[in-house]
Amino acid sequence: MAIVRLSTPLRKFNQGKPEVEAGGSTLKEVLQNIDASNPGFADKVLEKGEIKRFVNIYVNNEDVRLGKGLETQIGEKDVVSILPAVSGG
Amino acid sequence: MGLNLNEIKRYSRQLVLPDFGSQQQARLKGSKVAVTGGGGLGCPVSTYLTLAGIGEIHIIDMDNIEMSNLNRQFLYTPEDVGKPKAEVAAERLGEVNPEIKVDAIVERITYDNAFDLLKGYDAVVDGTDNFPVRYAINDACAVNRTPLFHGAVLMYEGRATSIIPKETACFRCAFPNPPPSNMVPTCREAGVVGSMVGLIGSIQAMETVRYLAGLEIGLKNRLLVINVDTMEFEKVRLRRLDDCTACGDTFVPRPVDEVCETRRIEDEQRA
Ligand SMILES: [Zn+2]
Repeated sequence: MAIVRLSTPLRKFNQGKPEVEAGGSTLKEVLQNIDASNPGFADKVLEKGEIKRFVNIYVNNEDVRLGKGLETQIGEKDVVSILPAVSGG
Repeated sequence: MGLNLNEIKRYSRQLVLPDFGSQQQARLKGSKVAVTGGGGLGCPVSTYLTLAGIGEIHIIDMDNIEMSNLNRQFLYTPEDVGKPKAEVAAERLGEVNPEIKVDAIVERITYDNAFDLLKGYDAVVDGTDNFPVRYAINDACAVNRTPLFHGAVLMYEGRATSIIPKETACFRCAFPNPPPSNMVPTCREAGVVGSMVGLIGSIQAMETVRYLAGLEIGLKNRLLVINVDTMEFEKVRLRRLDDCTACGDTFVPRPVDEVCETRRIEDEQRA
């Protein structure tokens, strides 16, 4: 199971919780598995099968957009962080 | 730029640091820094820059002090409500450290004026509170080649990164597009506690001071993400994009308008 950390704006789609564990061998599968237990989650992160352009996803602190995107391989205990920009001050 | 006797006494606790001496202190004294925003982040940022001995600090803020600012903006008292933040902050900090110069610029930063307003500084520290101004400051600093120390908060989550032109990713490299305004609320809507902005503002000030002193800094090409409800600190890697419209090979002005941005995304989603 990967550990998926959610930025504050996304937690309302995970019962308010900051983290969720999810199985899957690729990032896409991990996100689909989160969506299975939190219907609507994938819609907040994906659009037409791609990562939404204002959402960044990091696997073990590396931006997946600069790698294999949704096809990024996910291993046991990998940490996935999902972050949109925030602007408060 | 040498140090006088008062300065040697005032800064003695930092002058004894193994990597910090009169040469580094003199660099701070010779530095001119703009702090954009005199609010939740602006208060700790400008206070710690003042205490560290940055020679000239300009606080840029158009807003007046409100009672609801006082849970976190510690430079202001109830008697200051209604007065311009930048002026009150500059006056107070000038008293805290008479060895330096602190000035107020009571002006609203826009995409059109940011390039001129932020010219001529050794560093800009961003403590503003909305995407249009943050992207304007990012683009201006990229074009002006001014180091920019970014910090932002949302509820119990904070972010910081240090942007060195032509060397590191800028805010737009990291986030080419802001989220729609209905996704990420502001502090006014979502709430914020003083120690949260204090934490992030302190980190921004630390990075600025170390950078200006000529020391290594830890947030180049790294976005620090802190969640204080779990006390999880993580640093994700950022990469500079050659085709970034702000810091890449060709600059393309791209003012961000939150309302339009949201509409455009909703249109795309409907399509
Ligand atoms: Zn850039």
